[in-house]
Amino acid sequence: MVTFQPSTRIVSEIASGDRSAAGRLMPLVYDELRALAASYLRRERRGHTLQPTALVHEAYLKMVDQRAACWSGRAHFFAVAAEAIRRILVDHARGRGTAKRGGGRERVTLSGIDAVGTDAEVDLIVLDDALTRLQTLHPRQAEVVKMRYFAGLTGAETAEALGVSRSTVVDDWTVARAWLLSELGETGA
Amino acid sequence: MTTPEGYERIAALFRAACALSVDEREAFLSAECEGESTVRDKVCAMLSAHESPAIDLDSPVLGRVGEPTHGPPASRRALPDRVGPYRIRAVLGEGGMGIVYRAEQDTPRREVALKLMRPELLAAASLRRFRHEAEVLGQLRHPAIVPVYDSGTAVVDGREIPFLAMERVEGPSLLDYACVRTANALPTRNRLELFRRICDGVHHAHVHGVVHRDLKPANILVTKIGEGAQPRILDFGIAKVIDADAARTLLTEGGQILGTIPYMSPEQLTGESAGVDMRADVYALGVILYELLSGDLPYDLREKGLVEAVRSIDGEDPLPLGNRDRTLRGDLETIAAKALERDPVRRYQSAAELASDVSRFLNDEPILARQTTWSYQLLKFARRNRGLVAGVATAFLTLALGVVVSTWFALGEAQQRREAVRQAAVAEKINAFLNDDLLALADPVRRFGSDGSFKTMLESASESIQSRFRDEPLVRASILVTLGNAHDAIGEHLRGERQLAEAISLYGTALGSQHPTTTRAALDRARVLGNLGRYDEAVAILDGEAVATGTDTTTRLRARSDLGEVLRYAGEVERAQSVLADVVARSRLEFGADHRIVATNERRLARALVDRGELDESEDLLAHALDVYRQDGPALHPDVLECLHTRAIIAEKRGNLEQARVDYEEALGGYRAIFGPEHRAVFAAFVNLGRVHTALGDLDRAEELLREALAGRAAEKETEPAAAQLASLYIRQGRFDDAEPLARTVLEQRLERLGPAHSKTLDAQANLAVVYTNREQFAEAASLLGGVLESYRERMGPTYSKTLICTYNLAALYERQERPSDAAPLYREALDGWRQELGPDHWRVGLMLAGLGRCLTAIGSYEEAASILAESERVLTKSLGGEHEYTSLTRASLTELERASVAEPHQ
Repeated sequence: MVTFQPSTRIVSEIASGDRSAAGRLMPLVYDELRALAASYLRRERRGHTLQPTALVHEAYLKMVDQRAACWSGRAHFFAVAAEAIRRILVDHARGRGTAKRGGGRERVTLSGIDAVGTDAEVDLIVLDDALTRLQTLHPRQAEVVKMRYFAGLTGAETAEALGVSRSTVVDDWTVARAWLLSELGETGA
Repeated sequence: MTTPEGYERIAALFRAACALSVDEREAFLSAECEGESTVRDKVCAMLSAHESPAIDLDSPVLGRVGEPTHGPPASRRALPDRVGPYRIRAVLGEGGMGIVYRAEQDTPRREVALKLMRPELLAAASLRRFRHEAEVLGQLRHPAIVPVYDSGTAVVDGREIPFLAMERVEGPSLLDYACVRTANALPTRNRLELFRRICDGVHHAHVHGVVHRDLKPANILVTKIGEGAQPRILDFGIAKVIDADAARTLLTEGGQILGTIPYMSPEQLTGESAGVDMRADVYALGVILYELLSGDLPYDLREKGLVEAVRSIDGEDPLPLGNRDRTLRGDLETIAAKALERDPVRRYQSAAELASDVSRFLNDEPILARQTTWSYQLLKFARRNRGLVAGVATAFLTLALGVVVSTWFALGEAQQRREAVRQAAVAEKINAFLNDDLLALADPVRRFGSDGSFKTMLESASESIQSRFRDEPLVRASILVTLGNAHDAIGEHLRGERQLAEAISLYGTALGSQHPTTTRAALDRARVLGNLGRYDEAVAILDGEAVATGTDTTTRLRARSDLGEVLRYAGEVERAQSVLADVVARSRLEFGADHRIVATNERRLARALVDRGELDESEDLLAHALDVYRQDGPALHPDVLECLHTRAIIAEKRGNLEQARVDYEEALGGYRAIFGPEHRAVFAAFVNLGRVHTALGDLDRAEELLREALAGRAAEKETEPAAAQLASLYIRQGRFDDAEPLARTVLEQRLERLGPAHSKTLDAQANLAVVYTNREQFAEAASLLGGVLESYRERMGPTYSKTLICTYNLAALYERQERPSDAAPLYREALDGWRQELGPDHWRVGLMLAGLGRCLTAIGSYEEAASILAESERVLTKSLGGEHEYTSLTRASLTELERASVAEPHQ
């Protein structure tokens, strides 16, 4: 008899409407992603960057039995994974911040990764604060940001994960991005 | 503090302003936001962030997928000076698996391509495995495979790094060479020729147990050899030695997996690594063919993430080749689609199969992939007509293939065109004949449903072919082959043989006796001859030169398999076993262990092993064959039931009659469900069950089953197996009057179906003679037995067991006719034979001695009779015991002798 991993089962439960299941999935996904990132880091190749989409996809392929999970299950998984990545990164940024300030709480998971933003460093903590505000103003737009920016999903994947049309995702993203950037500017670097 | 409503308003204003030109925005916002400067300022800030974002939020926080982000390329790093015995000269390339250098070797002095594997890719304990694999790779010798000269590990920068030294090959990659979709694209024919050579190379590796696992155009270079082009495949088997998890992470992270995914089979992508075999390479070849022909990949994976790509490949059908390019419709589209089947079972089962369909296409012969459609239609037909044997459907398939009448290679271009036209005409006529004359009769509306109706159909088709296609020998021959095979499949062997013989002579005249088509028909006929009991003729064909030299591997293996089967029928079980064992081994190499053809060969070997008494090994083979059949197809399939049937025989042999009864019953139920109640397979199962019940001693139940079997087939004149069983049951019970009509029926049917020379016909005559003898119809019995004995002696020699039994029976008959001087020499002959065969102390020897003693007594040769009977008593007492019926009879004969010799003391 086929036994599926717990994550497969939880994904099916979320898909069938059990909201609390997402809460149970989160620690699993979080741990898996952290482990993936750590194994990546052990390879210690300088100049390589960690790619969130690859992480999420890989975590999904590893954690969820492809034949048992339905499409909407995948969407829910991505949503949870986006949140998990956000937490990992923000935790990491906070950890680094405290280290800089002599806080000394070491974050094993992601230490050593240089998060690469192209033009300027994003202050993840500030961004996350803004995102938390956006969450109260327009929860769906906040989700779009997590999926696109933190989990690196494409527009199509995001649309599917949220169950909205692609044009909605494009619109949400345009507005949210402008709003977030303006918030970051306001706060002042 | 903004509220959701306030946010919504700001968003709406922002959207509206975005749609305007920069100049218009000012006025728009002034009008809309009068007295709301906070709102206005926020929208303006958003607009400016929108126009020129200070920070790039569009790139995901950790980088972006699909952009390879390796460290500095090897070319910009310092070159190592030496790796092992190789001097490094330059970097040739760098990929996910490692770096390739141009290097020089001192002895022998040559330039090599030296591949240093990324050490992190090797699974922990796999250096040893790497060496082993590299050794195997070193043994691959094929023009399409870049040879590995050497392998090992070398210490570079303090780390032990595995390396492979290969021939340095220069040339463009496959797709660069083909220039698909450009003005100077390679002609399709040349591309296919190139592709066929790639398949050949891949097949060569497969036969040596090496699967590539990472075939893609980038791994295939093309070198010029004279006028021709030779593809050279790189990196064979390397994918196997690397740590799959590490590779996936590395490739994923490097974006390279996106370049590899399109060539990965669904079973590789979904991680069923246990299920990855050479058919994964067949899939990759399918993708390469598709891309080589159309310039596009079968799935559009652009803009798709990994999971989505996997979903597409595992869940959707590829866009048909013909939709990319109309000129690729038809056979090429079918070939590519079959190679790209998601289920490995439905793919070409080997690179060789794929290659030969490409060859067939190049030669304008019908491709085998078309079979799918044919078999599908025929299966549907078969299902409508439940009585239709699956084998008959197969016979019709041969028709579709039988159109292969090309002598293509020898022909000039103009001739080739004519040939093509002619072939098309042949095929068309055959199809029309099938549809109009044959299949039309099977129309369910006309209520042709039973096995009998199929026979009617064949009957009418055979009749109508008499007058048709007289001036089209090839069409006529093709149809005759089909009809012959169909007749064979339903048990009309003699008729089938005649039709096949005519077809062979037509083919021989039109195409030559060595032509593959002629040979194939000859092989069909050989199988039928086997069914007819004409073993020597069958063996001569199946074991003949034409098969060994004039056919492709698949046909050759089939011929060997049929040879094994015929040898088993003929009683040459030992040779049958060795032939079939060889076929099993070779077909495993050719098709992979879990191929249906392999299963069928295993089933046949298992059956031969049963006859050899090697029941354990037989059972193992059957178990595997059953697994394959059940994975591959429905649980209720004649092949499956055949296995159950053999298993039942094993149980019966082991004396496990109860188990045998259960298995026979299951086979019976299966046959009934598939074929309906009147089919001959059902009938056969009845007969076997009857035999088991006879053995179980439940003679009433046995009689009941056999009677039922007889009733079911009364109309078919095919009752002989049941009649034979029942007759011997009655003989055993001494019910000779009941046995007589059955024994006669058996003989009549065997004469008609098998001809007078068949050993089973002889058996039937012998049995009928026993019945006649016991009913005291001595004249009939004597004339039958005399003929049978003659035939057995002639064909099987004087010491063959049946020769001896007949000799004994005839002797006993003469004795009952009170012709002791005729009987005595026969007893002597049988006595000598049994002594020779079974040794001096066997009970049969004792029985012959008893008969001879009685005859000598009757003749008056008392002295010899006394010593003969004494010996008989000794042998029988030793072998059967003093109390046995035979022993007592001999003692009675001795008493009789005593009385006779006393009565006539002077003789």
